[in-house]
Amino acid sequence: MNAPHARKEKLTIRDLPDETLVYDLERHKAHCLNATAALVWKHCDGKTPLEKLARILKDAQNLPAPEAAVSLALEQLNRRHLLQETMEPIFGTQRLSRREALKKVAATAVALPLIMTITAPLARVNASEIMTIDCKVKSFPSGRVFRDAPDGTTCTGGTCQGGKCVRSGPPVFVPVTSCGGQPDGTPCSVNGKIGTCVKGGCSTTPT
Amino acid sequence: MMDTRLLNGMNRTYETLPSFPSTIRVVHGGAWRRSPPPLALSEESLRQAASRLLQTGSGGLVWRRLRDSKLKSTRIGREYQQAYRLNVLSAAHMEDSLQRAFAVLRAAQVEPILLKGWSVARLYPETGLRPYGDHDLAVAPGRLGEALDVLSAIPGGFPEIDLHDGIPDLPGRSWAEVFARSRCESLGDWTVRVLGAEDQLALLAFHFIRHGAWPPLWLCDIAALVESLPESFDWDSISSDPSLASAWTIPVIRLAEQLLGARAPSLPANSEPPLPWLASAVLWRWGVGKERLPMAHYLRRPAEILRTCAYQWLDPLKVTVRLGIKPQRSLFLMHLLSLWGRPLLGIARLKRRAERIRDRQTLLPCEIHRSNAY
Repeated sequence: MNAPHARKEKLTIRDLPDETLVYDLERHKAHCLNATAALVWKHCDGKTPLEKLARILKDAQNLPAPEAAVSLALEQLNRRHLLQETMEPIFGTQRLSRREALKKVAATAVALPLIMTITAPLARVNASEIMTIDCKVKSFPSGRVFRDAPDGTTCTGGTCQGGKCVRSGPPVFVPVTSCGGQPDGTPCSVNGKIGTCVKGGCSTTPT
Repeated sequence: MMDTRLLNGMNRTYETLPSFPSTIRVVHGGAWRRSPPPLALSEESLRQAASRLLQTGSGGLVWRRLRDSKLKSTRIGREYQQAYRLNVLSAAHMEDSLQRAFAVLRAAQVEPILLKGWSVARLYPETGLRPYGDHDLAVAPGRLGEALDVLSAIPGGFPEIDLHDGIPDLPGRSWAEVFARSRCESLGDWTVRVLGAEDQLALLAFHFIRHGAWPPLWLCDIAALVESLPESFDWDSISSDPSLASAWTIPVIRLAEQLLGARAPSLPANSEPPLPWLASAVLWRWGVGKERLPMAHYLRRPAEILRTCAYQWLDPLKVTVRLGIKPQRSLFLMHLLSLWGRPLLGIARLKRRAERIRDRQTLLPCEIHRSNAY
């Protein structure tokens, strides 16, 4: 991989002053990228070659061994599934082991690219004392049932099928990126904006 | 959806150290302000209170006050930082889902009002200080079924959304009145309808009391709201509402002044002075938390048994909410009412339980989950 490409789908990304936080909606893991790792990741656009990434890092952080830092950052990004395709930890023709890369960058420990993973737990059971959708649409405290929830509705820990909650792992809540074949009203995202599908297109205009 | 069960996995502590209430007061005092006072607590105090503070969602507030101190690089400092990071990510995710829920409901001509959650979190100076686990959306009475249909039809559903038929916590106010006072606030490129300050304050105050003054972060919310009240705030809307919910507004504002140093605007001249027993009841709750303590704890500290029994059985907050009476100045009177009212409450509860079992047998094959998630 000469020009690594950062993964952007199914991620929630927030920039803080000294770090970037990333939540992987597929694997339910939270990552914290320090400034060096975040800089490399943000420039992984699939077009920027490794040499240029190293130059960018050198300009921004004045690192003595930017190639090693890039290699180290890419290795960590790769391991955490934050790149679009898996990559070998190489730099040009010279393959650097993680230890070698660490040795080279260790002199400037402050700028060492670092990604910390916080394993986030599965989705929390979310229900209300007043109203809950648990395959039966009902009111509380009377417990009066309005109707069965439609099949596919997310219930506590699964999805509804025939009015019963079938456990199927945590609900993942992601807008579609393409409205082709999706019913109107389906949440979608386009250019980072959230909207709803209308006639096969994603409309982000507030109503 | 993500959550912070990671934090709840920390070792639980059943300690009821005498210092807990004061630690909680110091941590929350002024924490909602743009420039909070420096946190005058030792590493040890923060470590002892960590379990309770993290579980109740105050980790982000603590981190904000630690990050410019030498405690930021300590082990306990990093725990609070972790809570803050998770809060930030959770907020990003929740804001997305809130935008989508409003978009979907508005497309179906249903205009909801957001209660609590994001509408309270935005009172804090930055994201990640005040976590929330769901969105309580109130729709006009009678339109609940329609709103549920709309949300249920979306693939994946909206697990973060709790829909309410009107606003049950504000029974003394009509939907039209509340809706007229509500306003739209910007969230990204969208707008979210939130309660007007008059209704938000009454709702938060009563909610805090109804849940037994727990968690402490909710009093912080009230302090933040009180300090941001508009000049045009209509105090008459509170005094003219005869419901129990509104009766708690002024006492809770006084409490926020007393315990957290909130700077309340000038209250109406005829408003009640602080209830003499309220602060001590709340501080006791902050000391023991909400967990049911194991018997071994009391065997080690027999002196606490009597005090705990007195509060558990004669908890003045519980009395006022369960019996539906307005807060009284006399604690003795409230205890007397409690002793008379408890048997009646017990009978009512048995009746409700019997009804629920009957309903469940006939109508509800699925398990009902209820959470007190903040």
